[in-house]
Amino acid sequence: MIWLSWRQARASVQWAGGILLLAAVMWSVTGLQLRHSAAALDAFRLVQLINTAAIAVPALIGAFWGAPLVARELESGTHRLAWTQSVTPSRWLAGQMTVVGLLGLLLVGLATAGINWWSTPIDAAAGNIFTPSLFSVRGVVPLAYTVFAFALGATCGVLIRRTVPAMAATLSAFTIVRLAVTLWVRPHFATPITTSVRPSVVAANGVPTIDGSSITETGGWVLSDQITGAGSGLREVVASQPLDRFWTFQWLEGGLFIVAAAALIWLSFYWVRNRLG
Amino acid sequence: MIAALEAVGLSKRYGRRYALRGCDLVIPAGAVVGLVGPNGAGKTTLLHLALGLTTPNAGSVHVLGERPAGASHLARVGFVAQDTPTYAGLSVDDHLHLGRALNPTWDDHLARERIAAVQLDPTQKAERLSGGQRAQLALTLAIAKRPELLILDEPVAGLDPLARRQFAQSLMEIVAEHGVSVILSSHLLADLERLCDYLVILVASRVQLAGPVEELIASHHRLVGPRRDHYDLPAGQELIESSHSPRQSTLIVRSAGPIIDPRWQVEPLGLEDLVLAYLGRTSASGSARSLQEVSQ
Repeated sequence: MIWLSWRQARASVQWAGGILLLAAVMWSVTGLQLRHSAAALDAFRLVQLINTAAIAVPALIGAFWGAPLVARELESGTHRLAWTQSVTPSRWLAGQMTVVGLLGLLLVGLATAGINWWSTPIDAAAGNIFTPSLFSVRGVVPLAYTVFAFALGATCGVLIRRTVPAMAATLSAFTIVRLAVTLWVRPHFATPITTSVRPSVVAANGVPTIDGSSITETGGWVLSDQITGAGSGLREVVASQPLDRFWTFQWLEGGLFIVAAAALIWLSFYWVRNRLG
Repeated sequence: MIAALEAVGLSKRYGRRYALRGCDLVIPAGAVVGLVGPNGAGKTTLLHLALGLTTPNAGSVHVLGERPAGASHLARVGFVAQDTPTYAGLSVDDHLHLGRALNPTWDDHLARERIAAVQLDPTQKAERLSGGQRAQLALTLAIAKRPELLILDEPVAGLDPLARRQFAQSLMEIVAEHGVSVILSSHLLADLERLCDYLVILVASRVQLAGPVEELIASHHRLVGPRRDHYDLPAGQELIESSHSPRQSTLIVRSAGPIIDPRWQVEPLGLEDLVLAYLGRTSASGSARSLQEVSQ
């Protein structure tokens, strides 16, 4: 079983491995320079851009490795060959999911480690890793996203039975779920802390202006920042998730996606056992 | 004797459409059995249910006395699927590797011998094989796991006449050499005559006729005589089909004993005409969907 899964995945794994290797070389060269002089940061806009693009890697694994897993077999009819060797469809699916899924996890794990290592000096100096764009490429959530995207892709493939539509469905469904969780679920993992201070008013060109920088620099994830009142009652009210909740949020969101992935995997096994053939 | 395949009230539904409905059927082991019927009769669904590729909505199916579930059962049954699917990107050698990796009872010596015998290049990718070569590769995979029963679903439907004959020859050799039971579905009647020694006619989930080919041939007759609209057949003779031209009537009759009747000229019936008579009968009786409708 492992042999067949590996033989089928080999070509695309080699491609992905090649790209990762290229990225690793780039990270080590520029990362070392960055550690020598932080001023070099401006020269590494491209690397930063690539690191931001890493946000898409789980979705791509779901679409390119998850969705074709079963759909490709159903489309070409080879499931009738594979599932009538001395291996049941469930065993076959378990083998495929394990081998290809673990390869995907390994890929994302290594990429996340590389990005995190490269960004350490920046994160320490200025970066706020709790903001949505950084939160999703740090810590454990990239791995959870990958498991979810892969399971989503496999399930779409089983239900839709055609490779390209299943890939498209995977990409759109994954994007929608990720956005929804970021916008509407993640902020409610814990009650935000609300602070209310008198904003410092500075005179800019003779006009009194509120300087908000004093409060937003607390670190953590600012959910809302409002000015209320007037005159001496002027208040700046900030709702935020403080930085020390970072890992709690990482594990909560990671767990959420893993539970969803488990449900999808159950569904795809159920469907393969009872609805296909 | 254990039946190769036994179905009781077997039903399979895809959405609201029944592919197989209340099918009762016994296929004996130790024979080369032809499963005949128009497209849509439920042959492929029946075979997929027999292999556990899908599960029934109602009823049960036993293959070699076992419910099709689990790897140990799959190891006893070799399957050549419709259109003989293979992995386009994998070579012939890779396919043998696949068979070795997935079958504990795999006979590598037999597999290599067959590949050499049908002159397949082991390094060639499956996508570059001809239809006939692909069918041979699929047959090799099915037989090298040393099954007790070989199931083939329309294996030669897409092949040219020469490849079809070579495939039939390979199959006969395998049967002679390994004594394996075979269930072969087909709508190509000429091939069945050459290959099968037992026949099951399945139309719209119903078995219309089943029996050893020799017996079927011996018990069916074509009667030709001057046209008449009323005819009484003696007890023990069953009318299967009648057709009339302005001056002549032709009857196809099933009878265990010989027919001696001076009013008719009695002729033997070939297997192909026999099968067609039964397929035509169901369309006329109205109890089943018409052949034209079914074959669409």
